[in-house]
Amino acid sequence: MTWSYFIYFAIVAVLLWTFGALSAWKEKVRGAYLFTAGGLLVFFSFIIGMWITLEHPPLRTMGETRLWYSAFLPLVGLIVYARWNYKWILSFSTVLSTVFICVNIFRPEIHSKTLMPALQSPWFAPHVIVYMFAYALLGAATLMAVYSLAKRPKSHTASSSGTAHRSLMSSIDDLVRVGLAFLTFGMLFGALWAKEAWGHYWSWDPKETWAAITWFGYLVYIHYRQMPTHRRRIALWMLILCFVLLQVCWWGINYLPAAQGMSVHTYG
Amino acid sequence: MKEGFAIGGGLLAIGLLLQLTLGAIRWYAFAWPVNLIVLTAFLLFIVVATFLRNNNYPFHFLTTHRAAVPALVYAAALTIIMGLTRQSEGGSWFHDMLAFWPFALIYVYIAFLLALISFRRLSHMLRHDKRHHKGTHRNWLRDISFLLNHVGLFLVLVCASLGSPDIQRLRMVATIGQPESRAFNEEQLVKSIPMTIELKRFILETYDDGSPRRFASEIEVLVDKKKRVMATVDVNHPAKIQGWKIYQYGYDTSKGADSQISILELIHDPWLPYVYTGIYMMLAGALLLFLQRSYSSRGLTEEEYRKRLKAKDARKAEKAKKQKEFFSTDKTEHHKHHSHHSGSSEHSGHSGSSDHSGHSGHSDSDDPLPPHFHVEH
Repeated sequence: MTWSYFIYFAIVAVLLWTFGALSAWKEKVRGAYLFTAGGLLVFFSFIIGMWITLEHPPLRTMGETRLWYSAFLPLVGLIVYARWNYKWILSFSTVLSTVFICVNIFRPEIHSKTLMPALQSPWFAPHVIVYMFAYALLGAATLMAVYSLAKRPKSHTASSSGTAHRSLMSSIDDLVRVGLAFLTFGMLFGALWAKEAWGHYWSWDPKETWAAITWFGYLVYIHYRQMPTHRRRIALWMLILCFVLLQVCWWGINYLPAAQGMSVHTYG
Repeated sequence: MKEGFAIGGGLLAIGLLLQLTLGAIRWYAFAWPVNLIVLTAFLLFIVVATFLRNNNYPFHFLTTHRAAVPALVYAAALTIIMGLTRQSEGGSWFHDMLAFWPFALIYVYIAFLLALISFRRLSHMLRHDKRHHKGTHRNWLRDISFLLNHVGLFLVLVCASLGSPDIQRLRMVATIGQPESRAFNEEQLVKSIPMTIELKRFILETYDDGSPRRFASEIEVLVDKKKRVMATVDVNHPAKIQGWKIYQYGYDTSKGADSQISILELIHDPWLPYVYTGIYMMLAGALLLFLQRSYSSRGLTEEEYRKRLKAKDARKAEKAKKQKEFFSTDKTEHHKHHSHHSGSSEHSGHSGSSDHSGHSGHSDSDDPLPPHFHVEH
């Protein structure tokens, strides 16, 4: 198996995932399961093929991590779908996965790039993958928050739109709760890895500082929502603010003067 | 929530005063055994506060969301300042946030809240277990997840900060064929270590472009002048010997693969097992958080779910009221007497049912308690 076959496997897998996502929208549960699982089978067989050819798991380069990411997204999407029956989750995971597959197809040169020894850790992939999945979930929660803020309840149908708002809010809460769980995984995997690679589990590196800020932000939201006297709109604005903080953590710190040259989290 | 913000503001003011009078926090002053003494005092204070909680409004208040939310907002705000300013050890005020009193006090406050709320949750669980309320059941998964998350974070915060002055971080230059027992700390002072290290072989593998793919040291360690241990130290794979972790740090880059030396880092962190216990608890807590049932999977909105529980509570109160009326001869006296107690101590009689109104965690304390009547179970 060589890299040149990737595009064929990828196209078949993305098509199957798309059928799966469409089936989920149409509430054809069996179709959603079968198509998504089929896509996963195709995609993972490429990864295993690469593994055998390379004689080590393809986890060394950023491109190879993206490869795993594009495979894990629909997998986790399927798990979430099985658990909560969100019909939109498979579309979401398929679109995100396709984006990462496209990056790998259009920028294949990354596969030859070298990986510094500190990044050669079994923690690398899970650390990055769970973070990316958390970012994806929290991104979805933010979109729903913006939607909910933009849709003002009309006075004469107050009660029915109120119910709609509430059911939307509980979906948002679920997304944030799962997103926070994954943020916690990402942060603590990072801590365990840092102890092995850099000697300490937490060094207040700018990326770590902003990860803590983001984490605290979502904790504020979750605790605020549990107050019986909370205001819905304030909670929704909190989510938008949290997502801004998350963006600073993800890529914004590359532009922060205070963080220049201070982070081990700067990539090529 | 105003009270919560006021408490946080007060802590900031105290912190600023301490910063002005004492200067930045000198963490090394907390080195063993001072940190153990401070920890013991802190734990004692927490236990006293826990016992006072039921009859003392301030301590009860600290276990509510009205205290938790402002505390988290303050922590986030101070950490944002930290993220926006360039940090350096010995920097002034915001520039050395870890030694900045207001920052430390807010984090201590959060640890305090975490401990109080964990004890409270635990006592609710145990009390419920004893009483076996009819028709109510606790959501144990939720309780355990709650405790893992809160106790785990408490352990990490407390043990990581109090343990930091006990961490020894030394550098050693190991040379081929020369057993070495001198290691240097950050101030370049020689520190004694319970072992002698000899570099046997230095390994450097490069990519086609010459950048290092792997560098590692094969070392022989003489432990306590008795035991000989062979180990390979790779980046990302430190050797663990006698409570020390030995890391590959650097080499003679001018010689590359022919380097005759290897720079090793030796780290001893006696508090690490406790911090790791906290980290593993938080990982398990996050897993349970992920697996928890949501309102929507029951086909209910949060509001509907709360309504249902409220109706259940109301039915119960109604039943209790009828019983009370049946048995009591002088109603008004009783009502007066019991409504007087309907604060936190009264609360215990209804812990099972009132906990349910806080389905999404533990918001029972925040709910103004319904005017229910005391029932002896």
